[in-house]
Amino acid sequence: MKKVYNARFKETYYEETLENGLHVVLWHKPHFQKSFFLMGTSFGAMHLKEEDEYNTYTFKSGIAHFLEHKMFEKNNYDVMEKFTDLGSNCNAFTSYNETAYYFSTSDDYKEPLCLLLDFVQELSISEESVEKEKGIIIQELEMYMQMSETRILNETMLALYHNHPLRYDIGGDKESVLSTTKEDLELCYALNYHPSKMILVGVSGEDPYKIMDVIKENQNNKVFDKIHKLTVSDVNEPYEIVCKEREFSMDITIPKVCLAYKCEGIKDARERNKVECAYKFLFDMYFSSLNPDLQKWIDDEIINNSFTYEIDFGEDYGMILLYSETYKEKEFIETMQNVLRSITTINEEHLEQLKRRYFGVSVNALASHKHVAITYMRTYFAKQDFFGAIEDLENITIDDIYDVYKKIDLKNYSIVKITPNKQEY
Amino acid sequence: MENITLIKDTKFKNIVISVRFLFPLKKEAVLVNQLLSAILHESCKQYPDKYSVTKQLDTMYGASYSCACNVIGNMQEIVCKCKIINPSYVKDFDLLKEAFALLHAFIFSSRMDCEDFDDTLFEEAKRNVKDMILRSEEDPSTLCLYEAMRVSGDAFSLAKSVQHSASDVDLISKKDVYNAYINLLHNAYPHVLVVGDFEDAIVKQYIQTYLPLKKNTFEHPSYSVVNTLDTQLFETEKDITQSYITNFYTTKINNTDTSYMALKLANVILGQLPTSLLFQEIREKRSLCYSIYSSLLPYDGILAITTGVEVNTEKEVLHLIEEQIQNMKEGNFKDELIDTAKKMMVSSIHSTNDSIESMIGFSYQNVLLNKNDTLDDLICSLNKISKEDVIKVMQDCEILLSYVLKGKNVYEESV
Repeated sequence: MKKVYNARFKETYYEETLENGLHVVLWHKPHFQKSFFLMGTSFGAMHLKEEDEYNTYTFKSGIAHFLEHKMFEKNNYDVMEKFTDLGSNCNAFTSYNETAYYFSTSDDYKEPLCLLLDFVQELSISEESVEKEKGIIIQELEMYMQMSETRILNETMLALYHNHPLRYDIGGDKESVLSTTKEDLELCYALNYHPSKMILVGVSGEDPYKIMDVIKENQNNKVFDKIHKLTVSDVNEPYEIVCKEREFSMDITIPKVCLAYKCEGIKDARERNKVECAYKFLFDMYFSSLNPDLQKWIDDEIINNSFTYEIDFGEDYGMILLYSETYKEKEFIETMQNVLRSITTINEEHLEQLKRRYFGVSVNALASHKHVAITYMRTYFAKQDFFGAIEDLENITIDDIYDVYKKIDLKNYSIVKITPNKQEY
Repeated sequence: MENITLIKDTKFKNIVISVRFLFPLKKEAVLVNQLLSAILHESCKQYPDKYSVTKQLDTMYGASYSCACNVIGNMQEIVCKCKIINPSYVKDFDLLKEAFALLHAFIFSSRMDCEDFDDTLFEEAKRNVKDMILRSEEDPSTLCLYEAMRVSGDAFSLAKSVQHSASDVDLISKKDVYNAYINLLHNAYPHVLVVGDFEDAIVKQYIQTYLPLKKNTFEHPSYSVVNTLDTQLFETEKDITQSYITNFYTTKINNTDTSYMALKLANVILGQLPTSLLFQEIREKRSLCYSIYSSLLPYDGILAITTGVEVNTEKEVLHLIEEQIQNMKEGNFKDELIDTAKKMMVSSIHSTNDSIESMIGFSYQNVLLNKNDTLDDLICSLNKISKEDVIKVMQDCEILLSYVLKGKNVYEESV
């Protein structure tokens, strides 16, 4: 195992890629009784078209999430039940970029760790159970669709993207869920869950060498199919947005608005991280309390304390979203656009202040077992170095920030609004 | 220094200082105190605007400060909290001292310096509290829970915390909030909890210097809700595509009772695990919901069950929930489930020491209940509980009410 010690953050982890290709990272957290283990694949809701040398595979939207649900079913045991019997909390999540399975325990980690490895490395589903799961997934989708924040985000993706899979909810929709078959799920699993496409991250106070022995013993007893070399198919996404405005109503009381700028994706992972950091600083400077005008926007009721912004870049997509609850939607749009149009300087003092803030934020983040595991998985799949990504943030310059600002196409935006349902009398 | 709890643990990357003020819950003062906490959260004389607050927190390496208002049984509390990174990460800067100084500034040098304090400060706080109320009404599961509390009557203390509308905020004056602030400083029971890597003597000195709190006493917050309702089933329609259910049960047991641990175990068996009766019968066997769980309101003696279900299956789900309650009362659950529930609870108790927030929660509960329980005491008392104990506490459970927030089946309508 390779040992990595970061003196600045006082953190140590060990890593090794096993013979079967599984990359294992063991983060040592001395004196903690709790252990957290996560196993993830870089297959997520966005990967709806993959290709190898001979074939192109097209999946229904929501399939990664459906598969996540069905991974918990086995022929001769119930995964959740077994974890619970062992005193462990187990769960999973699907994002656009990855699917991850995890558990935490303050008890002995060995059995649940082997259970995690075993259940993720085997798929055994029946047609009957696939049908039964559809009802549960549809209830889950309904639950999220009633949350106004989820709805406005989904609608924003529809306003921005013509063909990109971001158009679809992570869980798909009722139609795609109902049409998913056992065979679809099995194909998806076979293509994307080989150990060489996965990572296992453990964050624990236990001896990492002993943990590695448990993992190796478990893995040495297993035989895996040949590695399936796949690439995610390119998406033919036009540069322009789909529509300038989109409006819908819900049973809410305060109207909500999202101003969304469509940007181009950035292939190189390190460059992408730097650009995201630079945007984060730019928006912190102009759209947070560092800008004294923010108070005026609040006093004028152009925004309220729900006001937020989000910056997200991938290999083939990029977006900047500004969101608030407001009764003054036109003023909101005007104000945000005016600020974006009139940026001429980047305040050096603010930049240093933000770097100091984000150092603290990074230390705080390292306090959470779950956060460490998920962030490590993401930086690994993005082929980045964990601490290198933090250092990139500290090396951002005024020029970097100004450069990214210039790249925003201020004409390539959509406005999405949710208005309260009209009352019927 | 008896109203101070210091827990030194070198493994943490943060230090949290939690200053809590406890006072009796009064229905007419709930909103006033929410406004007070919104103002104490916002600014103070030393940091009079958002920019200066942010600048100070950034200087303190991304420290955070917050002020929140909670209900605990028949008491209300206002909590001012500051979180900093472990000072060992910082050179030439006394981060811990700065944190105490910041708390001092927000608590003792408020911009509410007279009955007629700054209008803009007051108006912004009012808007924030109003929006918070309106927002809670937009989320169907929260709305269902709040409506269930509202109709449960004044016998349920938590109901007092939600029996107001956004427009009620306008009825509150600056004088009301100022008086509440003075009351907080002079009559509330204050308690300071500090958890993280620090030297006791230094922290004690900072508390003495920066947090000169009065040594008031407090009333016990625990009580048990008594059923005074004539109706059990409440139903409202909303333009949503799923229905939500909240059931409340009176248990006659709160966290001061010796049988409380048996009730906690019963709650886990009923609805806290994937193997619990509710999850197994309603989600796993029948696919009627995505999530269903039970929970305890420890200071109120209430057991709650909440779920979101497909429209038009509400009656079936209510019936199935009742069946599971009956199964608990009759002991129709496996011994293995008791063992699993105990194991999960022990694991959860052990994990308390790995989280600053959990340590603060556990220690403060000891303060409120005037106990000196250790985590081992909890495990020991849990291990003594038998199936008969679980059945006995469940037999005392009675339905208080079922609240159904009924959605509309849009798919059927559109055909």
